[in-house]
Amino acid sequence: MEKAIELAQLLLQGNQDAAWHLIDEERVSGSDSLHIYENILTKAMTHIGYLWETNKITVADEHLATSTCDFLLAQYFWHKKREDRTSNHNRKAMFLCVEDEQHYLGIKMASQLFAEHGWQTRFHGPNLPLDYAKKAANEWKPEVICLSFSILYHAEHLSPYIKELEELPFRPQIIIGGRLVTRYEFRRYGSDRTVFFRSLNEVNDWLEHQPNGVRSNVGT
Amino acid sequence: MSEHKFLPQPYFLINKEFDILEFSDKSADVFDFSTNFLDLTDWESQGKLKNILGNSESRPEGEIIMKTKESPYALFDISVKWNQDECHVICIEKDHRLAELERIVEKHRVRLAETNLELLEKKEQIEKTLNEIRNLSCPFIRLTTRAALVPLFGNLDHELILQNGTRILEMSQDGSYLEILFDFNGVGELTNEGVEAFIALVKELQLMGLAPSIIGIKPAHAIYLNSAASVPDVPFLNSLSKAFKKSVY
Repeated sequence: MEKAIELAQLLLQGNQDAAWHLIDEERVSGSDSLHIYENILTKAMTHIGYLWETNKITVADEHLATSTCDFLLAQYFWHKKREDRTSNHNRKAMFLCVEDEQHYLGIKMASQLFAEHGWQTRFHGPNLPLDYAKKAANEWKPEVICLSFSILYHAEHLSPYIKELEELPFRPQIIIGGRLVTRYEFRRYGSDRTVFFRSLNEVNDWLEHQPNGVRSNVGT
Repeated sequence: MSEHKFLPQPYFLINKEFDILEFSDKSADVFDFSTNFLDLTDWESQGKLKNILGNSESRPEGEIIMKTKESPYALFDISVKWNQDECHVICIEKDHRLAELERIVEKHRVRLAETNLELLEKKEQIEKTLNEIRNLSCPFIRLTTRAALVPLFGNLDHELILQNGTRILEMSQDGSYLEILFDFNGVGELTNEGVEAFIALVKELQLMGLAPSIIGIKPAHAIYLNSAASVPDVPFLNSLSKAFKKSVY
């Protein structure tokens, strides 16, 4: 937790170099991506949320921290990809935040975990309206589509997204994630086939149990 | 009638239970009607709001997410002032122009991040190319079954020998070589570390029973070789043709 709080301070200063130094030290000392994403970056951003709630910082500070954290993720992934020995397979996963949802760091980390497990990924970032999501999915035909939301009233978007994406002819597996999934039950928005992940740990477990190169039989 | 009604910003007068006692016309324009101020705020901001309103230690201002007619999730700056059991609250929505600026800054940030990664990729490519150039700067050429020529090109620095030393040692053992001719005609600048590394390589070859020769040393090179910790005991020849006459028969 100490590292996370130290990182939170650097993110709030927008100090990319010192923040990257902290992450790179973790990487070089052998920490895996799951640990870096879940226990350092996510915890640092959660701490920043706590600082806003306690009136210590403003939303503008949060924006700076978010964009600095985004830079770290890109930089980390670049290094990871370079030293990666995992063989890629042809399974495809697409990532997006539901309409109006701006909190994209969590799902970006999930997309990087997929890529590190050899998946082909497409990250569509925050706020992707359903029509665009359907169009992109129809063109690329991913086996898995991951959706994220962090604001409670965005949960109302879940039902149409899940229903319409699950009904696509190639029957993609829909996975839902976001900080509120840990705290509340959202299953009523999905179907029997929809999968809800409460943390990156669960994403990682799921990935580790996937047979690479073979289409999973979930929902087929 | 209270003059608060005409304030040009959303204004509320509330009591300790957060019941709304008075509000400005502007409040009625922005928010749906409610009897309690907490109902106007997003559920995740209510703890923060109670803290700002209820904690005299806390700063009397802060950012709160409020539910307006336009959006269930709008960012407001609120300022509060207690007067006995009543609290005056002014709510000012964060300017939309800020969101536009954030969008532009975000666009620039994405571009910079991409450029940064492209630069890192180019740097990697250049390092790879430099390594390849160094490999090509020290070829091992078989002249006869007994003699091989190693022409050096470019600057003789520590990296050149570090990168090629092992390969030269291995190739010199792959056959029945007796002589290895190092040609300095293509060498530009030297460094002290490069010369020491080169001498160490020559000595290793000698230890392995080979006879290295050095060809084409120029006066500028000789200064470095002479100031080295130990000059190897090998023939120095001024031209490749002399070396050929001596070696190739």
